[in-house]
Amino acid sequence: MIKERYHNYLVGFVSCIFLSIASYSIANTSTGKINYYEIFVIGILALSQLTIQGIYFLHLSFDKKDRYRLVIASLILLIIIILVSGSVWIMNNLNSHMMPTSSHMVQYNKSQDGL
Amino acid sequence: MENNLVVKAEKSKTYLGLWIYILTDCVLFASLFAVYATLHTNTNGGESAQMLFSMPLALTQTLILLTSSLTSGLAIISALNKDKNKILFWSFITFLLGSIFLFLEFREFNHLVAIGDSWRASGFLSSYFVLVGTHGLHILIGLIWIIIISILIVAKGITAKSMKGLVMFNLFWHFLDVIWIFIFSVVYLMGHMGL
Repeated sequence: MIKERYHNYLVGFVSCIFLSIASYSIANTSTGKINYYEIFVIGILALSQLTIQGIYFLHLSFDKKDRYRLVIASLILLIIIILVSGSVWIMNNLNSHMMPTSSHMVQYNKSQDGL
Repeated sequence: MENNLVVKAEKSKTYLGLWIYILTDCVLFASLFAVYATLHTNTNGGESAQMLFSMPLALTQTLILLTSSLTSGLAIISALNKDKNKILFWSFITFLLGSIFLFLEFREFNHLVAIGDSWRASGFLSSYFVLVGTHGLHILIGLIWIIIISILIVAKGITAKSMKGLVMFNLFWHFLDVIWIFIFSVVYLMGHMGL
């Protein structure tokens, strides 16, 4: 059991270092213009690091004894997804509806001139 | 092995309690991430994330925190072996790496404030300082925690209480590493790519 844990830690550590450096080099070689494909890959790499750390460092498993922790972790993930994506969605929507740019205002003022 | 104090601590109700605490802390960080995601384009005419942050520094911090996560795990393995000196050694290395991480973060904050990009400069910088600063505060609490546990182990040896503390600290520390991965990816990497 001790040997297994030791092995788990080493596997988790090495793969996390590999993933960190991989996402770093993707970001470093990017041109500075927004490329959603690259951003998607970085997001996937971050999520796989989360999975690896969950399995190898936090000992999450489908084992019957430990399943409650997996349930709690999934609940955390669900809440985070709802909270973050919901906030970003709503706030972007608000931005596009409630923050007129100066050109919008010129257009609006022109349309009101007739009154 | 079933009677080992570490295994007992991992099956205790305290462990479940800490998991639930981590859920609530995750909600805190999720809110801060949501704030950052909403505000990070509001630079108030100042510099954006793309120009402001040093990428090699962020990678160094990531690797340091990842290594400290490994060493805190090695402290747990030493605890399973009931090797008091090794527990103290790996705890000390964890403390050292955590301090270096915090020092680098503090230096970066100091640098940002010195060049006039403090939390007062824009909505983007306010949300950045709050998000990364909250993580740094958690690291600071973790460092104080590991000192207390080390003192407890030196004074009382391998007892049920000290081993419980060590296991709980280990879980907390891994959690902070997971949060940092997302700060690294979202704030530094995606910021560098212009998102």
